[in-house]
Amino acid sequence: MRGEEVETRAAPETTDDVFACRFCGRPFARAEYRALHYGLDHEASLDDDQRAAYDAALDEEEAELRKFRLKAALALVLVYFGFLLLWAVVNLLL
Amino acid sequence: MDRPALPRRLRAVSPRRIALLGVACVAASVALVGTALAHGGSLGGTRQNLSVPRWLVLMTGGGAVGVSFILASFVTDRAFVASLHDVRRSVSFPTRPLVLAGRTLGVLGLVAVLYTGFAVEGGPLAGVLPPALLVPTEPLRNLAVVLVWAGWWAGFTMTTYLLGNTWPVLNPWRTAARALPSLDRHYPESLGSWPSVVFLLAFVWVEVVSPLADEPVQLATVVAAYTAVTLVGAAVFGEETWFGTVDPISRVFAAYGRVAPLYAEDGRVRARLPGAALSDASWLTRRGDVAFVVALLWATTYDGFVATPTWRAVVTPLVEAGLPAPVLYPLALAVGFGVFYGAYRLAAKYGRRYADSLLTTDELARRFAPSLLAIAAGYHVAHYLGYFLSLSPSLFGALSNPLSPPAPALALVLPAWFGGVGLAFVLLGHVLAIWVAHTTAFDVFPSRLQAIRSQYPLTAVMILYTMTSLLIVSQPAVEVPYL
Repeated sequence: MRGEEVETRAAPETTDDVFACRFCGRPFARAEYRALHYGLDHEASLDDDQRAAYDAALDEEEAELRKFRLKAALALVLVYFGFLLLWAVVNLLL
Repeated sequence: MDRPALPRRLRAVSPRRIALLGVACVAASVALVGTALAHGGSLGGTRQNLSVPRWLVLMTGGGAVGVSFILASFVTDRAFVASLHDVRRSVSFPTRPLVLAGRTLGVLGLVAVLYTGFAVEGGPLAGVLPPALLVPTEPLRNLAVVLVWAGWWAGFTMTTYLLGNTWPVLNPWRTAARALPSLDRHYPESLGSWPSVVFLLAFVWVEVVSPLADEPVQLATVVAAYTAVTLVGAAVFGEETWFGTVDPISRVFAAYGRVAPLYAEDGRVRARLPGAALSDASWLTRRGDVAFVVALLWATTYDGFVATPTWRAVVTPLVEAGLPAPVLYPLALAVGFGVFYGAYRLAAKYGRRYADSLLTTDELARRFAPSLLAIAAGYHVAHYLGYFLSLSPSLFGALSNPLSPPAPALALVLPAWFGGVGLAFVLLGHVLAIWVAHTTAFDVFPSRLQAIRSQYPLTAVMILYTMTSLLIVSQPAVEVPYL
């Protein structure tokens, strides 16, 4: 089990289309989230299907993360050079 | 706690890459922070004009926090993130004699404050005691004043988050309450932590508006009143309930102690990385606990804010328009707390939406609240380190000879660059908070993208807090107006 238990109560307006954990009842909005949750928090009690779903969800997550990293790197460059330019302009005007 | 080994796939990011990222993170933060520091403002006492516009300093500070969020989001190895927070070392030394010594010290301190507060020339004990036993009234030569403000409120508080929370042992009221019988009345659980939120805000209000820092007799009267309320409360509800739930001072130190590297467990002193315990929110269980953490953050901010030219500029037209100043101070305290708390709740609400999570907003607010303590601690250093250092000669003078302390001939004048130390600590606190929130998010959400997305609004709020703190720390401290 990772860290601390969370309060698993779902917010009232989102009770339909919920993927609830079979072991602890925690609700998830997407099947992939539940698949990841199974692998992370209930690894010992998984059957083959759940394990396969977990692996697939991990692959997908990794691909999404790669895309995110590209965007984050771009944001980093923009912020950094934005500030560099800002300081340069301010120093020029002062 | 037993953790199953994580599947290999999750360790795709090699430790070397993470180390490189860590170095890049520090370097980038330092680069951004450095530019702000070079033109830093001033902190308590030392004066220096900003050579760059203040808005640029604020923006750069906010930018540094934003950048640290982006850099943290590159660290996606769950095993690595969790491992940093599981580093624990046992530091074994006998604690029993220390506990006894600490309790004695605490009680002695309280007695000294009450005595040197009341036994001043012209005070209530002046007619009773022989003149040789009276102490000076000047604040800087009075032990009660310097011990409470410089020694305890500034100096001791810093030790609670830089070293560890020793207040449960030192707390003289707890030592006294232990010796008294208790009625053990049932504490109304529906109140939760809200009484301590109200007491904390009231305490800060009294501290700001009253001349407690100048008048030993008033200070000793407030300490005596606090003693009475605390002992009665502890006797009625029981020591644990009172000091754990209601007493704002014990709760402030307990919260700060969560940041500290040293902590006590099963009668032993243990060590962890500073801030490592902040990803654990299991101690925030009552209603209003999150509000208490936010109140702690706001209280320290307010304390500095009322002494800035910005506040003076806001308050002058209002007072001239006929609003009474005694109403404005508590009003600003309440409104500011509302804004800080509202912003945090809103961040939790939108964090939930961005992460597409079905956990409640309350639950998310609770889980991420401890990260705010790193911000509060960083801001506390910025606000009080200079104050403590410049008053320390008076403190040591009064401690060395409580009855007739030497005149504080030696005043510690802080160098101009010291203002930068304050700015640096504000940013350091925020960067630590960003990291803690990142770790917490990884623990809460099964998907790492969910974890990162949940942090967008929280990061925005943290940037807001940073800019507020920098606005205060980068200005010269002025006399609090209209008091």
